[in-house]
Amino acid sequence: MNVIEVSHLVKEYKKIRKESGLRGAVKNLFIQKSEYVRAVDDISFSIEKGDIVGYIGPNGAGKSTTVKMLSGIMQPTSGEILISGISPQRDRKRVVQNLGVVFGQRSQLNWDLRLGETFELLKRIYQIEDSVYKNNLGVLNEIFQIDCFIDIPVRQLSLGQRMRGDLVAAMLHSPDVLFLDEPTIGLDVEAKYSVRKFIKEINQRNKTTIILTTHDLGDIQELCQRVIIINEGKIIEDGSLDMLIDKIAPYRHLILDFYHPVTISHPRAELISVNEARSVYRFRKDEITAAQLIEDISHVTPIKEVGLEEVKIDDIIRTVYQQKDVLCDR
Amino acid sequence: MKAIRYYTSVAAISIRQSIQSRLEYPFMLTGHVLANCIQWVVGFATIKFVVDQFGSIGGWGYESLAFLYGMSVLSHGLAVVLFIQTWGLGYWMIDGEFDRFLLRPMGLLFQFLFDDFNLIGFTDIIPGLMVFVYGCIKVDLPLTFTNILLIFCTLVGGTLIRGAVWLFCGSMSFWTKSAANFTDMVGELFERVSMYPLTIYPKWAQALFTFLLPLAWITFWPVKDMLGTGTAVVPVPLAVITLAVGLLLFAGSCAVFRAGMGKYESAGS
Repeated sequence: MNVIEVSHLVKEYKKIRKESGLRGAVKNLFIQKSEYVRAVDDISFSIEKGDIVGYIGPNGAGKSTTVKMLSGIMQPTSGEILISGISPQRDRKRVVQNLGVVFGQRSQLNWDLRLGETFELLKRIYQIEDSVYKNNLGVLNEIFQIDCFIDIPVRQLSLGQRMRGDLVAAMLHSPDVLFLDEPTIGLDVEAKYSVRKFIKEINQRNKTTIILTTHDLGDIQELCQRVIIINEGKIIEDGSLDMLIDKIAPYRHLILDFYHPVTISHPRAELISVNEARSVYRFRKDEITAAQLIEDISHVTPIKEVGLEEVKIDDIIRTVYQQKDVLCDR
Repeated sequence: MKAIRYYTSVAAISIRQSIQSRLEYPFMLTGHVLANCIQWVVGFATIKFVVDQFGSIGGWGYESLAFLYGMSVLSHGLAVVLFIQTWGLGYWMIDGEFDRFLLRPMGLLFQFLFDDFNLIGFTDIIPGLMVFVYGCIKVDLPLTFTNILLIFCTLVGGTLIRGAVWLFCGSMSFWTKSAANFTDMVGELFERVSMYPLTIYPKWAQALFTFLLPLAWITFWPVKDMLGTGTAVVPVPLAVITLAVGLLLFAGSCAVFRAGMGKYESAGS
């Protein structure tokens, strides 16, 4: 069943160009040059229940705009969104009753009060039964150990603790759908790990459908079965990470150290560098396996040391981003 | 009925938490109590000085002026308690603060007004109450059921008129896309029109504030009626008209706010 359905979503906004200087400022009062820009340009996708989908793209690609339209904060220029069959534009209250949203760059916690106060307010707002509330808080605490800072004023929490607080706040009413906009931004390794663990756990326990936007590709590698890559408002890739790697970078590097300097070529691998006794081969996964390659070469001369290098995920994503790139907008 | 209970329970906890937040900063609270008491008492002392010199202001004696002034500070205090958020509506809009409300399954105006219930507004109500009780005693207002009802209508209506005008001005930010709005200027206007008898102004201004920009209803007309110094033109007490004007203006401003939210564009990134 598709929990999220997006079809032909478009968001246009007016971009104003100002002229410089005092003369320009006066002129701007009367004549303004404006153009319409499509932040989101005809996007369609659907997401099944229980999926974790990574929604990634460079800055200004339209990620946040999409998430904001999905959660009912922004009105689309055209196109339709259905969350569990309901449109957030037509029936906002019903959609958000079953939706959790976390924006990494802003918090919904009450700055001055102890963390627990925000949870109690949310309990009333979402009309959560006492027993359900206790149970949910118990489970979330099990994953996240918020007990040790629930009585501290939010303003004194560390960024990692605050983010955990925000994630718990978004999950208290046990929503079926969760939107996370850069939930690991600015976090240290330990806090990042704990946030990723949280996302994994609630996804497994409650079959929560999650859309995750991030710049941290570690998040994607750890969590997402599927990635949607967007650039300049358009979807440019949509599929599993493995598929993407095969498509963009179907090759690997094999590094071989021999006992003495030697140059050996192979018909199904490209020798890309020879440095003293070390040779680096590039080969396509679908043409030859690493084992076969090693075996073939070891027939010619003995091998001392073997290393295998995957293409880095960052490089792959960068390649994708660069495929369609207009410098001016970046 | 269920909806009312729901909203009341959320309002109750919001108010409790706002009070808790304010108590986190006790010095600010004490400062406001002192400043506001001094401000209103000195304001009233100025009026007393003028009356002592000239005998009356706009044909009103010292006792009636005390009553009028007290009523004005009271409804100002109530309006500040309930509607102070509207002053900063433009900033809320620019910072994208409405996002949070849009993500919760409740009415937006309700969330906006109750998000940070303004305990500090009570510091206006204390001196207001002092001057008002003093005025009641001075004008010998009998404490009948009718009078209490009229005072109640005036306070509710007056508070709503103030709130409606602020909300209207604040909502303009949705269109101007700027944090600046006219709530400050309007505050000045409220004081000028509601603390002194309207009769000090020329006829055209009186008409303006009665019919076009109905600020004279906040205190002047209902108080004049209560003190029995005017001749009845309409068959109902003027305090009832104040309440009606308040409700009508507030309903109008709610509509403007809602239309403005339709233009809300969140904040970048």
